[in-house]
Amino acid sequence: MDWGEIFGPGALVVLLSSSVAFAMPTALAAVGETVVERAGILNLGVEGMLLSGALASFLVAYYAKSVALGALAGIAIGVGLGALMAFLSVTLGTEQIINGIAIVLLAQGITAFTFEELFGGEEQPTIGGIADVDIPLLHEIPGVGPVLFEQNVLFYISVALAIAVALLLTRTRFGLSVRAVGESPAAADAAAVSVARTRWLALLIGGGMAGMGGAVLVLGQLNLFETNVSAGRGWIAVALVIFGRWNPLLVLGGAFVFGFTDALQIRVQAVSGGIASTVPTEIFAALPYVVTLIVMVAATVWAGRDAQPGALGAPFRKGVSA
Amino acid sequence: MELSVAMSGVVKRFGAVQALAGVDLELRPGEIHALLGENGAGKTTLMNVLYGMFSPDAGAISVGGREVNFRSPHDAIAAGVGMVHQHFKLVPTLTVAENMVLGQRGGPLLRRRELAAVSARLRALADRYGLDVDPDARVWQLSVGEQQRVEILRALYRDARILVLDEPTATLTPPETQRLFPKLRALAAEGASIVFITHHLEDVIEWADRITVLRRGERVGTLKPADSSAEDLARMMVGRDVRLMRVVAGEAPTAGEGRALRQRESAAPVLEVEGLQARGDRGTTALHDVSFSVAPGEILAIAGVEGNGQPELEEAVFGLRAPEAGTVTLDGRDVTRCEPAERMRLGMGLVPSDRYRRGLIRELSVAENLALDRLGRPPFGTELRLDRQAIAKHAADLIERFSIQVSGPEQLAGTLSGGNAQRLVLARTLSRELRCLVAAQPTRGLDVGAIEFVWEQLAAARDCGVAILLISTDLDEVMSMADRCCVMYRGGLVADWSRERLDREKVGLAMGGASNGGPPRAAAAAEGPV
Repeated sequence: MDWGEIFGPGALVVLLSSSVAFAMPTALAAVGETVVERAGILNLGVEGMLLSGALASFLVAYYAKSVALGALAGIAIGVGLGALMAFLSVTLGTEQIINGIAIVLLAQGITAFTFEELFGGEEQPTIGGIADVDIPLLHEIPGVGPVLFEQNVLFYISVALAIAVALLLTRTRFGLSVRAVGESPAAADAAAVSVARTRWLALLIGGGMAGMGGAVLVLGQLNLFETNVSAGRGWIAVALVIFGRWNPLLVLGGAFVFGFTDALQIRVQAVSGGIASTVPTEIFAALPYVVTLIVMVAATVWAGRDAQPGALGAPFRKGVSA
Repeated sequence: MELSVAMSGVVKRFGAVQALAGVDLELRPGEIHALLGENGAGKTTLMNVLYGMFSPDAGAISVGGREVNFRSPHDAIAAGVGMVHQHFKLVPTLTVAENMVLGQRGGPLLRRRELAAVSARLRALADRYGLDVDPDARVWQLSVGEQQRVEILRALYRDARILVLDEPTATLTPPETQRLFPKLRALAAEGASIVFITHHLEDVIEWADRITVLRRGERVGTLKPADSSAEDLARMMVGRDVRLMRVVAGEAPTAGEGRALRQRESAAPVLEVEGLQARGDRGTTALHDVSFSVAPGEILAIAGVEGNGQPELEEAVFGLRAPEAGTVTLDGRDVTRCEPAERMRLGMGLVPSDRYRRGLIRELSVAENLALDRLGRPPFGTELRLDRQAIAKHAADLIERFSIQVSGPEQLAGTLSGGNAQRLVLARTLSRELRCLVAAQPTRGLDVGAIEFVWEQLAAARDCGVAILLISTDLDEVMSMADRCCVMYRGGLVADWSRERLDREKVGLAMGGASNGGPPRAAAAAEGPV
């Protein structure tokens, strides 16, 4: 097979351009989950929020013929599931791991059922893609321009959102509360920070980001919905947060490793028709997950130091530990 | 003179337990007031009521002459009440300045400029009261004494006029204590009222202007230190004469004298630790080249201020934490790689510092906990069958021998008070064939009666020839129990004194890092990398 078709000058730009685009759904979900975990909540429901966001945005975009409304619907359903997780885990203080898994199972069931009810037996419904927008001047920068500045609107919004949320942790009063609440809720409580309120807000943000991730996957990338379309990206997001050592920028970097391998395997499959006949496509499809995990595990081993928020996964009950 | 705080007839119940049964307390501006009492006397509860953490069931509180009804610490802070908790309420991963900003109102953005202004104000306050702290340091990097200064600074930062300190000297070295009180005195001189909770008679006699003694939720009396002796105060506190108080009051220690010293010196050590090195939970080196040995019938005390590697030492010696280097030898046998179960089989026992987490299982009954280390083995049954009768009989026996206060052997261990929980742990550990006992902070948080009991049990085990490693941050405990004493500082041992050369002042200095008096090898270790 001809590697020039993948890594040649022109081809490389195409590869990198799709890498960053493919990374976005995971990146959004993972950055959102970083905020949630820094607040001390282990939300394993990300996959479910991503999947629900994907279906909601697809349905709204399909029937209302509006990408913007579709994206909003994706965010809204994510926020809704974030609220459900917050009610169960923060207000009721029940087991977070169970709640998260329940949300995934619930979302998988409901999305499959709804999609089947509406479109079962019909031809695969699709929605129109969205046009790429070239950012004036910037897109002319050789190499970088075509990769970063000839993408669709959702991509730009996602990047802005991911960076904003990453900065939220370090540069805002709310971010300070999030870090405090996740590390030692009792100390935060004594400093008159509402642990419950901070964790609720973090989960609403995290849910919204995951829902937005689903919307970007469907509206900006695939232009269709199918059962289990998120294909484990939510789980990868949870893993990225851990291996990214709860640092939003490292987490973002991990998401791009995932996006790159994803784009690469699709490219390799497309280019090497011959290999595809002997190597099962499932191997290619598994590649991004395997590579991402290997890279991030290596990063963790290399970093060594424990960066996990002190109170991750532990419910806080005011006044109990006086 | 107008009172800064007047609390009268304060009542507080927790379920069936009456923590405060109508307590009066008056604070004057410019005074240092000590609140003295045993654990469970209601000292902390009373102060938590003043700080708005608990609302009283009855009684009236006025601050600065005005009747108040605090619903949260927020209200109390606004009225000028600040509190320094025994377990500091600081977020370890944040900087000192960030901890000050936390929970304060302001715009959504956290600007560098704002943090810089906070740092500047902190520096000014720190200079004024001699509370030197780096505002930009992260809290987990600070020593316990520094963290306490941060807490005091936070109260001052919030313009507190009434400062409550809960057990301020419990985690400090004696030199740090000597530095703390003059600073509090300076604060009081500016008109602030200072209350400190304690059960250390020394602190009270030396530093308080007035003393209020509480016992079982009631005020026994308020007096001046000049009008009372340590013995009087102890009696007021406990309600009876207490033998231990002689030690606390600074008289000659009672334990350990005139026993078979010569025999100990000739006997081969039971426990030998050589070059032990281990990392803490955060990945930093917590133990650095730790070496010592304990002979049969000897208590080696490891003194030191909290946060200098004590939990890591406890865990590494017992096999709960894998060391990076070094060996642990038990009766000449290398057990460095042995599981705790294997060490226990060879005669090692542990009284863990965290007795509710490591010492017992809260959800199991007292009887089950008493047989926990032998469950599934004779005489308590086999791996497939528990012999309930044998477990119950064993429990009844130990409950009586160690006078554990329980409603019955089926009571859940999690409901035991601190003293009874420790009796349970001791009963289980000491009822086995023991060669070597690691006792970590065995009396932390216990009241005087329970401390007396624990010390007696340790001394009895020692007299039976058990080698005891006593890891303790309590200097009184070290002074009264140690046959030999090392001081732990920043993960290394910095001194090794025999009982005859043991001197309270020298130990205190070494705990603070001044390594004079120690042998040269140990002193060098203190300067090693941390």
